Amino acid sequence: VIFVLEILIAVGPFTILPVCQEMEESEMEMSMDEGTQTDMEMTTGSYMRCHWTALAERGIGLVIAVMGVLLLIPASKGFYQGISLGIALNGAYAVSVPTFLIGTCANKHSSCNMLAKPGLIIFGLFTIGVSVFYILYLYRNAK
Amino acid sequence: MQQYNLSTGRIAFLNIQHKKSRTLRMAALVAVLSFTLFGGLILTDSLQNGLKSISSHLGADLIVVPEGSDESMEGILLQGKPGFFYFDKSVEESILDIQGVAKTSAQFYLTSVAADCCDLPVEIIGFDPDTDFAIQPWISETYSSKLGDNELIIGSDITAFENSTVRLYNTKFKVVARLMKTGTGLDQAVYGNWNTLMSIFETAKEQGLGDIPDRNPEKSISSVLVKLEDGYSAEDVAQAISQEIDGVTVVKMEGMLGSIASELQIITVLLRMFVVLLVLVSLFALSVIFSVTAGERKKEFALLRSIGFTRKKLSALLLTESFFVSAAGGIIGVAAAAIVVFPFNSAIGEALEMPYLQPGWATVVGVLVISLMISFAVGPLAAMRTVVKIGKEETYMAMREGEV
Repeated sequence: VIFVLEILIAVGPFTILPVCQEMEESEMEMSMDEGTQTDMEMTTGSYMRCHWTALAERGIGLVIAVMGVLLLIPASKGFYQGISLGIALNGAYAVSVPTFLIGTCANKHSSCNMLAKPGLIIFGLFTIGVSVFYILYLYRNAK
Repeated sequence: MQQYNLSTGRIAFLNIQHKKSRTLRMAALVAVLSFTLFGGLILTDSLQNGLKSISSHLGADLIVVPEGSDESMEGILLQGKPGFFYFDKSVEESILDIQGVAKTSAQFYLTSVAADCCDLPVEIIGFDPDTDFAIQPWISETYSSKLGDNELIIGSDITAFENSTVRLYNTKFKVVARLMKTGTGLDQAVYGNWNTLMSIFETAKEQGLGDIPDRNPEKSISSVLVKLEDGYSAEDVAQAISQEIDGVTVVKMEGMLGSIASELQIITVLLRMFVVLLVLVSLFALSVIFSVTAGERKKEFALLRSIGFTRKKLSALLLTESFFVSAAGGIIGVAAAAIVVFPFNSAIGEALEMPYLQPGWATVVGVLVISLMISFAVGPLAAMRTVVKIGKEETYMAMREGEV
């Protein structure tokens, strides 16, 4: 479950829950030559803010996915609990990136706000929920 | 060692826990039902709210726009698709002369290409405070003073704070108020008086920003909102305007809202039919599953009867089991629907291309209660036939069945 969630966090913003389309530098220069200004360079230079959120989430998602694979290795309950705690914390990190660490674009109707942000929050919260449940399950079984 | 009181509820819980696969399949069926019920009701309520909201906030009976700009106008009003179009200011005076027209108010539209507030272009709507009858009543819900020059009021979906500033075409404007959410394209617009819009237009033109048309803003307007005199039909006045003034298209609000209402009616009817069908299918499928599993569990029931379970208690056990399965499915379905309809409400509204305004919490709680009640009742209702059948069977016969 965790592996699937994290793959969704890592690739979701580039596929099913897309962030706003990034702007190529060549396109930007061209539009400037024409004397027009685009919305994108006004915010963060060459890319919109959600672009950086998507990149950060790709890293977080892959890290948690690797940690999820570690749960398949035969080991002690303490090891599993430690990994699960790490996954839960990374889940919280995944939630905080689109909400306040980096954020998304200002327009509520941009793709990143309508799809990527709620999706990442939901996947992040699920990751936390599943990990905490697993930690408690291991704790209960250990007793 | 843990000790439990072996109540009917406890036995029912242990039974369904023991048959995990069967329980999951039955709960999944109810989950699909409750997902559709809750999600569908919230969806139709949101569309109905959006329709009510647009009818109450537009205020005009007719909107006159340059010929062929009716689709752009509807895009601005319903979907927040920025657009601009212009015709001569004299059109407003010509409309006022037409019989049946009580009031007119001109508006001027611009589209931002870059703004502090917005990463996507927004619609900038200018109105004349002296003649306006459509926007000001709506503004008065949140802002009681008169809108001054270089002051803006923003739609609910524009990210900026009250008493802060937004930058449009490299010029800062004071935000004096945020409007209440309407669920329409008007939430994605900013509003200013005529002088503010003229100033934005001139600045944009001077700086060569955006796709600013070569127009004299003093002599141009984008649309004329028309309020009719009592007793005149929108159809007749619209026809008169089209005949007497060249180069205009008349958007009838009644017609636009009527077409949304009829689309909404179709969606609502289809959804209700689907829910009814789903309830019937769930009832039938669960009833068959209960009947088949009851056949497999005859010995178990007979054993329970032989250790003192009355027929009534056996029936209660089956009903409790079915209730637990329904409750689990119902809660999972509603939770899954909530995860889709609330966080993704903007995306749903955008995809439907219709005014979409999520209902208030009181309505949401009402819909939740109805959805859960129906989902919870499905299991026990489906189990009823089996319960009656089991209640009639003799213990001895049940014990002997399957022995040969």
